[in-house]
Amino acid sequence: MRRAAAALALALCLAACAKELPPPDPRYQPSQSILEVVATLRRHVPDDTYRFEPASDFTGRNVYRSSLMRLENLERVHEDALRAGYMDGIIAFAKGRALERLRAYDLAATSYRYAADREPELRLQALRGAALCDALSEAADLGYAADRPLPDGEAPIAAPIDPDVAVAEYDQRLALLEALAVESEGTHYAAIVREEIERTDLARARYFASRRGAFPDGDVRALAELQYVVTRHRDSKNANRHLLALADLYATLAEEYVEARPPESLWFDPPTFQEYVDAASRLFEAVANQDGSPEKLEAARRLEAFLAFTLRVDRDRFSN
Amino acid sequence: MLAPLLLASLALAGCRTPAGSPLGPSLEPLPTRSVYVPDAADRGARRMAAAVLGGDAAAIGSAQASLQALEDERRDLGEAPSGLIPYAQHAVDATARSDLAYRRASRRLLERRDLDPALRRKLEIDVADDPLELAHLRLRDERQRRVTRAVNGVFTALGRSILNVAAAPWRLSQALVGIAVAEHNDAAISMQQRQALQYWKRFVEEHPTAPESRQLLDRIESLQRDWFEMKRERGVKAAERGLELGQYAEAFVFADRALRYAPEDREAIELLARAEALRNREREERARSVGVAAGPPPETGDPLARALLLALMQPDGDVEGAAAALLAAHPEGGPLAAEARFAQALALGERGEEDAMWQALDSLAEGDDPAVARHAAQLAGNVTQNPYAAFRKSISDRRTEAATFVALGPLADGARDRNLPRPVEWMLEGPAVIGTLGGIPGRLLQTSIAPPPARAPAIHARAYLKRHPRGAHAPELRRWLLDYESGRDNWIGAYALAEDSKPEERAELERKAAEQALSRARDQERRDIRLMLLREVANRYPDTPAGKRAMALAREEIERATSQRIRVSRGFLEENPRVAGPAGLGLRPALLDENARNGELHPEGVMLIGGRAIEVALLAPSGDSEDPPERRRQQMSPERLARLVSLLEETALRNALLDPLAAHGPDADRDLFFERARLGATDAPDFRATASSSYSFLGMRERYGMVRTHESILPVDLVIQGSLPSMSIGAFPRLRPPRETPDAVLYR
Repeated sequence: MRRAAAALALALCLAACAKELPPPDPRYQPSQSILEVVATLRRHVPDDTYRFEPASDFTGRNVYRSSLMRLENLERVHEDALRAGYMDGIIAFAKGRALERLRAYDLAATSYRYAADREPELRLQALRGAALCDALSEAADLGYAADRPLPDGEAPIAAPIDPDVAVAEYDQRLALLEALAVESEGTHYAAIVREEIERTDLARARYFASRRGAFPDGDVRALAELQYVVTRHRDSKNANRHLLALADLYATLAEEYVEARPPESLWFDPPTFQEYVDAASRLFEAVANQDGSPEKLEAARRLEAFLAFTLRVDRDRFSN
Repeated sequence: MLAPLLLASLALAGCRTPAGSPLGPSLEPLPTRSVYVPDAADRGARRMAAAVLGGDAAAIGSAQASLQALEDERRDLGEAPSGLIPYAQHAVDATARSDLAYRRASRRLLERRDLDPALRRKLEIDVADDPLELAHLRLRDERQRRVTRAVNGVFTALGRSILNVAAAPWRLSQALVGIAVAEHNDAAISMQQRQALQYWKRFVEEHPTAPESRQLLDRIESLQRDWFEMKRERGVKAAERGLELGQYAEAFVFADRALRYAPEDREAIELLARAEALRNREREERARSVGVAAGPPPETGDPLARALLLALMQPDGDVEGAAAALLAAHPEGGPLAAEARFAQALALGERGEEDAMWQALDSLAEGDDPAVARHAAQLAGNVTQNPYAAFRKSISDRRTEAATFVALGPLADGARDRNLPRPVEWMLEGPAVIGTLGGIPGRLLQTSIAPPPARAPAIHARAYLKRHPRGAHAPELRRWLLDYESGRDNWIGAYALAEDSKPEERAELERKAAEQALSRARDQERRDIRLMLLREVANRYPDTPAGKRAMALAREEIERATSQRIRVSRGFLEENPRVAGPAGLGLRPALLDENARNGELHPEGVMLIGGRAIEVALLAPSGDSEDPPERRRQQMSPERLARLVSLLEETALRNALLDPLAAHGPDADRDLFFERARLGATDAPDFRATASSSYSFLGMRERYGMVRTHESILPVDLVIQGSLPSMSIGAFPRLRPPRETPDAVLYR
């Protein structure tokens, strides 16, 4: 009976709310022209997405993603109007520019090749883009990455057991990317290649972090790898995220240490625990002090949570 | 005229006894002790301890009886009591089956008059750790908090009217309204009530069959209901706020949360429905924006539009030319005119004409073509894309905020939120308007002396410099930031921005930055980090006095590095002579006899520096305790070190039990070192920075001076209050509200 009453109340409210909804906002009207989309995209082609967050459009979406969606919709909806094919090359080229920023390098290369066939004026740029995207795609597929998307139904690949094998693959990937970095200097691809190098360093650090229990000095190695990412990618837009990842690892080590050696036990070594706590707190604090960055809030809350965890440790074993 | 004074001061200085240097080591040899033969009381205590540890009731009873017999015998022989009886009883009580029984027994024991003060204090602490008693205290705190708030409100109103009695009724009525509003705004359950609820729950869980538990169940249920009501209220308020701010997804989550605590709450159901509808509408709108307008694209069959598209896609395409051609072909403004102008604006930016581009985009954002206007507005108004505009806007906002604050003071953001209907909130602010106007001169003075911090402009200025280090506005923003950082004494930050400054200014900033960096380095507690920072200062500012000082300090730090720096001050040793004496440190008595001629301990005292070494600080030859001491290092035997640390710990613990102000704070590294010292395992010093303790055992006089400040036993303070805005002065008593308990942080 009560449920029925609640459901009725909800239905009434929904009906009332539907009446009060604001009128459609003209800002969100559908795209009017190809030029509107392409000009917006052009503004963001040279963006250094390694150092700065990718731009958003007026809906808050990633500008490359929204441009791609609009271009694809234009193609589909106006299939008849565009049947003559005089815009095909331009649209394919623009899609290539958007796709390469979304890490769909193989699709970007296909788009560029199509554009090269259909649009002589863009042929040179398109072929160059296709070649770079092919190389980026090849590089991105090298080495173990736990978060690499897999085609439907494909089983996840196990992490290499031998760290030397994993390192050799990452080194191969880095060598390829560093060669591409030289080749792409002065173009917008420089930022894309640097992003890939950063991803490679991060994949390697994550590999060691996920397998730290499997090696004798696994914790030290994992910390060193993450530290390397922090140092090497200081200029990256993800610099704060790297600091947070390192802080998280120190925090995890502190928690694991307490689990393995309860503070009241004779095995608990206060200086070791203090080292983990100091490192984690300093890193969380470093990020929490950065005005204007969204990670500030995240770091402040994590620091609070981590310090709350330290309350579990007796004061005579941890005095800070 | 000055000559006699000078002579007198010289004579006084000459009168200071120069300190002699003690011959030989500062510690006396350990006394040889004969083997101790336990007496009957010792054996009785041993039996008692064994019985208690064994847990055999009969053995305990027998041991206790024999101890009592021994004590009676002592009394009959006229000997002083051994003091063992209360401790024996305490040991027996410790075998009680439950906390409840233990606390009851301890309460009985506390009635005895022959308790050692330390045992009495310990028992008092144990007895106080009673969930029911603690719950009672928290509920008392809660009542006290409300009474204090009401009484203080009335007293303040009356006290402020002593020079203007006519205003008393008005102020009193205001105070009563304030009290009523505060009561109205109180959460359904206060923090103190939640603390009490936890204590009751703990009691019921620990003693489910106790008669008190049955009585508690109803009270627990009632407070639990209040707790849920508070969660509901919070969820509803957060959802309402989310809807006001247009954060529909957040509003949905909070309304849903409120419903979890009150599944049939009509208010939450309505909020949830509204938030869901608005959230869905927002999603639909966003989806619509990536759709395509009906009719063929206007570019169809237009070679000029195609040329502009090609130019836009080529890195060195002539965008301006192609856009101009498109505009020229349709002088009356064709369907792609706005797009062409948008492309032209972007081309201006690429050519380096930053301001011209933003101007053009601003004008397009206000134009008639909504499709292009939205993109132009997004670019021009986005703080990351256009940080200079964001900087200018935040400067202007700051000025407006300051002006509003000066004019309206606390009403700058409207009537204060009192969780009442808005008109009522404004009505309640009515009486404050006159005071607010009267406060304008004060606020004007306040904002000119200490303007609000310019954090937002600084964020945008930094973002601009990061994105465009050589941009058109870079010098202006660098200068602004330099002044901003100098204004808040962040000289390191200011110096980093001084690349365009004159050499003299740069040198001055470098000097100040070096001093600041040195001061930060010296403030570091951890030795390794301190050393690293000192080196960094020396490397980064090598030509400044602070840089050179940092280098010297780093060298000194390395030379003087010890694994521990645990200090026992002279004051502590004087107040606790047992620690200094042969049973502890074994310091030569001459060092504490106030006679400087035979050597005297410096106020710094003795420092345990790791391993088995100590550093004894002696008065300098001048005999002046202000002068740096003469330090002597000496090794101790493992036995002496073990005895010293045990005695130090025991003395500190006992002092803390007898006087809470004498408590020594926790220090894990100190305790670890003491633990190892007791085991004789300090021969291999632990040089890890995190293993080093710089703890100081200080005497009470050193800590609190000659007269210790005690909190008044009266629960009232006398307050004298002046108000610039209302040009009034008042005097009134103020009840001290109950203090929050240390665990309050777990209930926020």
